[in-house]
Amino acid sequence: MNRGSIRQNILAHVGLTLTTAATLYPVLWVAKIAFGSTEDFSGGLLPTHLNLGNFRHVLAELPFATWLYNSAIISAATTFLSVFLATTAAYAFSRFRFPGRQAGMMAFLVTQMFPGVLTMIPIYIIMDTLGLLNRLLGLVLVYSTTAIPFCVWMLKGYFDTIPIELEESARIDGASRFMIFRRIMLPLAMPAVAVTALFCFMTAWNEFILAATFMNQESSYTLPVGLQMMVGQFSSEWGNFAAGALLVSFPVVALFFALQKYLVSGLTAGAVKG
Amino acid sequence: MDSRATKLAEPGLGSITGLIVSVVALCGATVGFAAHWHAEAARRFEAAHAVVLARAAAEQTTRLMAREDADGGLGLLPSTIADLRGRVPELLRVDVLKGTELLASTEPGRAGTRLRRDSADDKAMYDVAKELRESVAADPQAQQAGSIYAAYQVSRLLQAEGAGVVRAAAPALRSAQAEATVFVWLQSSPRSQQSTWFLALIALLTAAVGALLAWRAGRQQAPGTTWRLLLVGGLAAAIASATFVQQIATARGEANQRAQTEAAIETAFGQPRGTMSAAGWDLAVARIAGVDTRLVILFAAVFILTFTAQARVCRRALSSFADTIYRHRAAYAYTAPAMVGMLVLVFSPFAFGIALSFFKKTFATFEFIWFDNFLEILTNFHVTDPRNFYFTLFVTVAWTILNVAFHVTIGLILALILSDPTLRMKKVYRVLLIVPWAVPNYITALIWKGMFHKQFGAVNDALSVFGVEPVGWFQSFTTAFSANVATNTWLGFPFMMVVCLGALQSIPKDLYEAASVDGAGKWLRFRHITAPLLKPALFPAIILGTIWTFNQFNIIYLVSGGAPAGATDILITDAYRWAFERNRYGYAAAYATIIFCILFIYSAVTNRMTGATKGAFE
Repeated sequence: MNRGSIRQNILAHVGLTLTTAATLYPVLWVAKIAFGSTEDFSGGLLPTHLNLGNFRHVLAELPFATWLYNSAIISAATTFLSVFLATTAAYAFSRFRFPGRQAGMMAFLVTQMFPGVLTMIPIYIIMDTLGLLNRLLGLVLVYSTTAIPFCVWMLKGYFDTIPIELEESARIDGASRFMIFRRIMLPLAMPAVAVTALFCFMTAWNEFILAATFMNQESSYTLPVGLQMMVGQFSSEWGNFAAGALLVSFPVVALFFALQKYLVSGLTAGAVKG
Repeated sequence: MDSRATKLAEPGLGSITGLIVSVVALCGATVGFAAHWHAEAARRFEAAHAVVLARAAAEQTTRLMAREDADGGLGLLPSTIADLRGRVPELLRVDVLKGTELLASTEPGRAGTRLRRDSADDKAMYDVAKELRESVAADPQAQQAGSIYAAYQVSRLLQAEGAGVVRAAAPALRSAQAEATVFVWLQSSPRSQQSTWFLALIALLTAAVGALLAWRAGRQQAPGTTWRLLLVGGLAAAIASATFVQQIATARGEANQRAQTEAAIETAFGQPRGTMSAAGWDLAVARIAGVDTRLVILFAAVFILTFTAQARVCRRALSSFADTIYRHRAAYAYTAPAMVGMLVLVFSPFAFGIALSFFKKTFATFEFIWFDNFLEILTNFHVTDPRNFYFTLFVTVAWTILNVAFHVTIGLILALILSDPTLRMKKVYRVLLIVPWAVPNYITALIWKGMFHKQFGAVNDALSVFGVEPVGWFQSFTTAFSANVATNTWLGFPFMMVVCLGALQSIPKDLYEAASVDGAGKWLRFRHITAPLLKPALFPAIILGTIWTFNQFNIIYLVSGGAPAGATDILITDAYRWAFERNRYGYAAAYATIIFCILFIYSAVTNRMTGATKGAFE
């Protein structure tokens, strides 16, 4: 290694360290507030004294467990439902040629441009009519349909990169369509399916406005709604919020890191091929 | 298959357009009739409301009559009914009749007089009172519900005449006898049942002619006529639908208002909750409404005519449709579940939202106002007002461009550094750098809002090290806007970084080696190898990122909250405020529709220019 490239390497490390520090700073700052005293908002990252009162308050005095349960059920159901619907639809879009295919895909793409505000009132009316307000099922359905278009496009791109020859040889060996889908396509597309599942989970776990609109009983709040209720004008509530934020973010961040090795391949395989 | 046989199986153009005409017109007729019946039902609900009000007055009269012996309670009757009239704006007049004597009336000079035999109106009142007395006597258990029903039935006698006014009567009971009768006159809201009747008939007629033409077109082509017919039928269908939607919305609003009035009366007169509500027995009323049999027969006749006249065409069309479905059954089976869900919860609310943008909501009623919302938004040129559309559009565009530029630049630079094969600890950096993506974005927004806090925030704390005075970040446009951009940049660069990393990984390394051998420097290699090969992955990501940033609600709403004075609001948050803070749903829907159009045009244009989705359709 010559001197130029060593210097470059050091430069890269310095740059990356600085960027990483800047990236992590807000997260660590919140951790400090959560573990520290509630009045300490200063820029330093070490709490003046360790204090678990915020966590105790959030876990014991608020219906946090109920909200956690709601969010967990909704997110799990949403993930399952939308991954199921998206993989089947994406498979059809990738492998079949049928009338309405282009129109269908275009329609899915166009939904990404729908402003949420526009559909919120009508969805509210539909939920009201179906008696799904304040029910977990209602949010599951809404979240699944919101997540599907992006998932379908991503999975379809990934399915396109799997050689069709694999399927053809399986067909010659007598495998049915569904068997091919389940035994060949799905395992091969695992990175993309994992990323899709992650996105669906995050959509449901993180969504705030719709949940705040459709759930108006404290017992049916999801975590984001409950958490938002915590942030008031008073700094003492910021400590609770910070503790809650850490608790809420932890599962999704953990999941994210567990699946992050698939992120690069799952997300870009389809796009790069284009 | 023989090509001639295929040709024979194809229905002619004339008959297909004829069929379309008929179907469209039939739909129009259906909607027209539905609107008609809906208006009819709404009228009955109004009558039910009138009965409720009559009963409220009757209930009060009953109480006052019970007090009569003690302290002359009936003396309070005029003030009681005047009070009721004051509480219910739509109440025109109240009369209380005992025998032939009017105990009280809101009409001046009428109280205390007797019914006049020469007045047809008074005669009808006497008849109704008599019938009410009899029906109460016939039903000794004439309690709440029973007498309401009786009152409703009898009140229908009064409704036969007089447009614009609904009348109802109710018995005031005393020891299970109808001692007095209360009559109310209510202002009825104007209804457009005549016009939908008319529209439905036009649509039906068009359907019939279309059917006949299509039948004739089995032998000779007549597309010119059918297209014109299609226009007429379609227009009738469209107007009928618009009227219907308006009617439904209005009826909903009226129902709400009625419920409010009734609740107010319950409170005012100390009645238990729900006893003075028409909602509980609305269904029974609707069932009485019935359906005009003549219309049903007419409708059925045209319907049968349409489909028998074109049985052949229908069969062909159906069979070719069924054939398509059958041939691609696997594909449709795979896509159907997702499509159905999208249809119900994404596309139909979207269509509904767009329809809403043509309405104006005043209190609880919706009024169809054509393009007024759009005109109001687009023709307001007070561009310095933060609520102005063009001002907000400018902010939104600036917001989007800045953010996407930062996302792509930072993401690309980091990806280029991280893709250096000699770099150590790559994985650690990569994992730590995608943290912002993993953290829920509303939490990010709230965290950054705290960091920009004037007194306690970390940003001002850091600046104070350099001797900078605490900045009120949300007090001026520039600083508030910068705070938003900083937050969103932090939030969004990991996505672009990951996309770039993926794309960089897929670029074959030997390309770079070959270029190095040919003496190309770093910059040349980037320009001629990396950049062109990044494009296919980066363009779709940029288009998607632009759309997401354009509609990034959470950051703006939670970080600056539009401060100062809505200046940093972007279009989507402004639309939200119009809908839920300023309660102008129609206006907000129009706003959102415009946002959609902008994004749609943007993606159509960029898509054509870059061919971002070209590969995807193959």
